[in-house]
Amino acid sequence: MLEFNKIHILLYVFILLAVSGCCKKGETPNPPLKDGGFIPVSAVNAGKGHVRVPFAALKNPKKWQKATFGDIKPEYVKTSCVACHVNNGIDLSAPALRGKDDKKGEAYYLGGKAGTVFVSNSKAFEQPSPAVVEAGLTSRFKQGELFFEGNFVSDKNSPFGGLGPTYMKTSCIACHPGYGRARRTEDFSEEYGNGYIATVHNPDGSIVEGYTAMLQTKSVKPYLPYARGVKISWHQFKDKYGNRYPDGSFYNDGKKTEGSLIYPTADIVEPLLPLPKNYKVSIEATIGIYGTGLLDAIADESILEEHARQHSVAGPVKGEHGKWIYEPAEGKKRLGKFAWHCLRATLDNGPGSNGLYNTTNVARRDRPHLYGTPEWVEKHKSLGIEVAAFEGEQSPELSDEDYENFMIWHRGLAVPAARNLDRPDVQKGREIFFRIGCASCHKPEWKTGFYKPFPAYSNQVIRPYTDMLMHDMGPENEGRFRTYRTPPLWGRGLMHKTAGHTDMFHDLRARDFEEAILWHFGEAEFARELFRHLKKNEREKLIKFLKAL
Amino acid sequence: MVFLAAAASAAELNLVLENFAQNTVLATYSKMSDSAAKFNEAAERLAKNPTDENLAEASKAWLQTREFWEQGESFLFGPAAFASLDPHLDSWPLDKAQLDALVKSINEGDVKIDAAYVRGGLGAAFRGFHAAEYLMFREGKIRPAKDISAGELSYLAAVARVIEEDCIALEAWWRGSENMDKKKISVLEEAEIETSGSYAKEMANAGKKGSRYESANEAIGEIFDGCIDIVDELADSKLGTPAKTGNPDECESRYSGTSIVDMRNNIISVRNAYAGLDSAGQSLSSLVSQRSKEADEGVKKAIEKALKDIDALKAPLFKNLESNKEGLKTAIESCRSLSDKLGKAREVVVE
Repeated sequence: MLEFNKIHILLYVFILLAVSGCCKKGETPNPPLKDGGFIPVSAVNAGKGHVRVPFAALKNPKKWQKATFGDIKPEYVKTSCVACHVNNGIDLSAPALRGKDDKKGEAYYLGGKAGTVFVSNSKAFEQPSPAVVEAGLTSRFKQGELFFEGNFVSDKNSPFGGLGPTYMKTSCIACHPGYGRARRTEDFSEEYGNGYIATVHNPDGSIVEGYTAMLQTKSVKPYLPYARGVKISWHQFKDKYGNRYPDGSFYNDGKKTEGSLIYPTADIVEPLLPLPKNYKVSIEATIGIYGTGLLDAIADESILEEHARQHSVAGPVKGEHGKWIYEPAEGKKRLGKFAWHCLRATLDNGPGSNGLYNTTNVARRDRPHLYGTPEWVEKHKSLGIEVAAFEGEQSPELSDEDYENFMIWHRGLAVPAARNLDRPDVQKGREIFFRIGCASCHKPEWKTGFYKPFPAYSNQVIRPYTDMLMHDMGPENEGRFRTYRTPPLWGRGLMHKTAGHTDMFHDLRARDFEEAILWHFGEAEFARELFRHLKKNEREKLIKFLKAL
Repeated sequence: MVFLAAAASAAELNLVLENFAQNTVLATYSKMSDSAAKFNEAAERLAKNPTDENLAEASKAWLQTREFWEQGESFLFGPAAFASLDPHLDSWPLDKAQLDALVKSINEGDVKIDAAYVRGGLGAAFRGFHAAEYLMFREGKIRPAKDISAGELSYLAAVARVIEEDCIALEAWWRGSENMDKKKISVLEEAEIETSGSYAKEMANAGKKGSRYESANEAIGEIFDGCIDIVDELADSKLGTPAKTGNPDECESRYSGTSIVDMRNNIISVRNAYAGLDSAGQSLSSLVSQRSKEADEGVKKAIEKALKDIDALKAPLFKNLESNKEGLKTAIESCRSLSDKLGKAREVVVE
């Protein structure tokens, strides 16, 4: 017994020495042990101690001397690795559950004090934020909401006029059921609830010449749409473990979906314009609208700081920030941060503002041109269809006032407060969320900067659970691109109530939280592996935490 | 001395929820789908024999169905929203230009119209109450049957069939399809419409296993919010927009000239949801009144005031926007006040 303990103590001392930096810079790294692994050369060169890494952990053990974190197989990443290589610089402390007078504490205010509402029913995503109410903007908020919910019509002179000549949907709400995310469908023509946009692109992700970025499959007569439709096919997916956890149970154990993961592919139906041989069609789903005003209030510098944090040490998570985009309204470049590929930088020129225009083709002062391509115009001319009216600037079909109200509504949509955070299971789930490295991309907390468009949103502590950066999600998730901006998790637990479904991920392949986690490949595959190795009740607790957000 | 009533017990709240789901929501929806079936039959008869009498019958059945729909607008949460039945049944404004083009295509034989085509091939702009309304009414009056083209008649029959399906689907989402009567089930089966669960049961069982409502309180809040939403919509949109713009095209249901009837039924919807239909004292009103008689009276008086002010408007609204100027202002104000009172009553009951 004594002998056994001695060995243990020796082992601990050895590990402690390794961790505390027993190898000094410039020293020759320890020779590889036959079966005992190696100490990463980069750690030694940086003067940092490191535990031994088994050779088997490397995709190519022979190249151990040049190995970086990216060469480690995801299944070998342990929570101890996560602590230094993923969670470096992350504040792990929990925000207060209780505030003054025993009221809900900081932790519940996902949208900060200015942006959080305590509503958890089916209308949880539709509320004006406290700041909107306080500013006396409720009426304008409601007026703006009409343009989200209303159906645009083709007659220019009618209320909600200006639809077409081509369009995707007649209303915004069609793609944002319950103001949240769209649901999975097999039928692209489904008008409501289906929030897919389709892109026809080249292998490098660029849009095929002649097509619009959002494929428009509807048109007002006599004009022709870019395609008559999109065919969506669903396929079964099996991972290298046969869709089983290490404990032998299937994914989705006990559900109707037991043992299955599915993903969609898409193709174009009756395209109007020629396509190259290697064209691809990808579908992507709507993300959600509430809280985007608060995300808009995050300063570019803060996003760059988070980017720098992720790149400051070797590790699996290396986010990529959006490009700098010139914003005419501000007269300067801003960092891209909205939509799946960070292609939009500000809310005023963002996915909602743009979506109102390119979904319906309703012109307005800041979007005076046809949402269409010269090739579409030429095609119509060749068919003898009159299109001269669409070639120059068009008169506004949506007034400035209506658009401003729409933006007040958009910016002012509140974030529902978190729920049940004080339950022990949820607490444990939170701990697991951090332990297995989710918090690196799903960055819990931000402090907003000065926000000129709505100063009440300045300096708010918000908890969206996104880093506003894009990450490689592996070939398994390849669509138009392989990288996706981390979607926020706030409010996600209420989707079942607000939108009547729990479909998630860039193309809604995940039917619930468990599947969403299991579709994390690429930079996030280590977290998927750690999730797989959790005990069943730990996996459930993690999901309870997500549901509480 | 002020006595503060104890917070309502969950059991008490669940009883109110059950009453609401059964006696208000389902009572309204079953009458709506019954009327929709009659409308469908009348539209079929009209298509076969387009006389003024048959058109009068069809439009009467449409008005009746519409009445129950509008009386359901205080509970548009749940299935009406997530199963897209609200937009499918009640999209406004109508895309008149595209609808005329469709009728032309039907008349020219380019489109063969039937219920399946309306259901699958056409968007919300081409189905629902307002498409049917436009085919039967113009400028506030029933059209002469002889003016209605063959294409319009077959289109109307198809739209009526789909309205019936949608109304039955809405009832089935709440009731649970296994509890529906056989005739209604067969309509859903033929249209290949599937529903799941029973929303009424989920409301009644709020806070228990199998319900999406985590607490009875949350579900009670949902009913209040549904009421507040429709009252706000009246103030901001149904009354508010025509009042602001003076544009007759902004009046919902302008073809039949029934904008004011719609709004009246909306307030009745709020009254039914709040005071309950056949509720035997198990209603939001009784919950509020046990805690604050003043708050309860406030809501009740505001409901009656809103009804009175809406009734005082000169119909049809689209023709009388100018002479209703003051009346609209008053009605908008009374809706805002009702919204406010409902908000206060909500605070009394819901944590």
